Amino acid sequence: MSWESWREQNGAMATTRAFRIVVASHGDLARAMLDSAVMICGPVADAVAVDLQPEQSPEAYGQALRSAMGDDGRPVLILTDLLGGTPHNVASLICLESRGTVLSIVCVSGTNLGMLLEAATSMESLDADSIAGLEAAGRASIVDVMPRVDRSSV
Amino acid sequence: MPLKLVRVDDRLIHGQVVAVWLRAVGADRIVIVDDKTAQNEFLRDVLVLAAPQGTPVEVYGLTEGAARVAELASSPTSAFLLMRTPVTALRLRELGVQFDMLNVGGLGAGPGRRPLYKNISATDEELAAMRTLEEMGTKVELRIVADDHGVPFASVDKR
Repeated sequence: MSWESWREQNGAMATTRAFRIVVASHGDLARAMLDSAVMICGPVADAVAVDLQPEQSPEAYGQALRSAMGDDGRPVLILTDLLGGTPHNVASLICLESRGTVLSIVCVSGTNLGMLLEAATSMESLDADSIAGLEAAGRASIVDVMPRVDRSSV
Repeated sequence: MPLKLVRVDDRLIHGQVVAVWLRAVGADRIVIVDDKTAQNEFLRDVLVLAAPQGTPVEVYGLTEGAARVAELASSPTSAFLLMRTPVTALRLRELGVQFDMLNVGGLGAGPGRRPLYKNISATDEELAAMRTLEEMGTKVELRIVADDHGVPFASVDKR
C-alpha cells in the first residue's frame, strides 16, 4: 500500500522522517519495544517489528524482514537487538547485498529503547551525522545512577 | 589436535550460543564447512563479524573443508567444526573426515521439514543422513545449548 494510505489507516502523527523503521529481534522483544515506545511518544509512523520465532530458519526470517522493509523504495533503518545474533546477521546480509544499489538500508545493533525513541522522534534522514546521533543517544542512555548523583551534588 | 566439537546449526554463528560452546569445549577457532557460505562473500563477512572477538573464523566449501580438517588434526590448534546441515556431516565422513560425535543444535522448521525435538526439524534427506552417520559409528546427539542435556537422535527418530 502507499505511504499515504498507511498513514491514514494508522492515524500516525505526521512525520518528516524520510525512512522506515524496522525493529528486529529474538522473540517478542521488537514488538514489545515498539509498543513501549508508542506508550512514551505516541503512535510511531512507518515502523514495523519483526520477531524471530524459536523454530524459524534464517531464510524464513530473511523473508519476513524483506517483507517488512517494503518495496516502495523508501530508505530503511533496521534496528536489531544483539550484535552477532540471527536477526542481526540476517539484517546485515540484506544490508550488505544492497550496497551499491539505489536501496538505502542501514542496520544498527544493540538497540535500546532510547535509540528507538531517538529514531522515531528526532531523526530525519539516514545520513552519517544522523546515525552518529543515534549511536550517541543509545550510549547516553546507559548510566550508572549513583556515581552520577554523587558528582552532581558536590 | 582432533576436533573439539562438530556441530550442525542452520544459523551458524549467532548470539552467545557459539561463545558458550567454544568455552565449553576449549576450542580456539571456528571452521565452517558450507558450499553456499563459501561462495557468498557477504555471508562470510557477516559471520566473521558475528564471531566472538579474537576467535578466527575459517570458511570452506566441502572439498577444501575436508582437506583443512585433515591438516588441523596434526596441528596444535583446537577447532570447532560448524555446518548448516547433517548432510554436510555425512559428506565429510564420506571424504574421510573422522568424528565420533555430531552435535545437532539448530535446524529450523519449514515446508518439508518434520519436527524432531524442541525447535529441531529435519527433511527426509537429513533424517537419512543422520541414520547413515549412526550406522557409520558417529553418535548423533541433539543439544541446542551446552547446558542442555543431550538427546540421542535414535531416541527421537520415529520411522
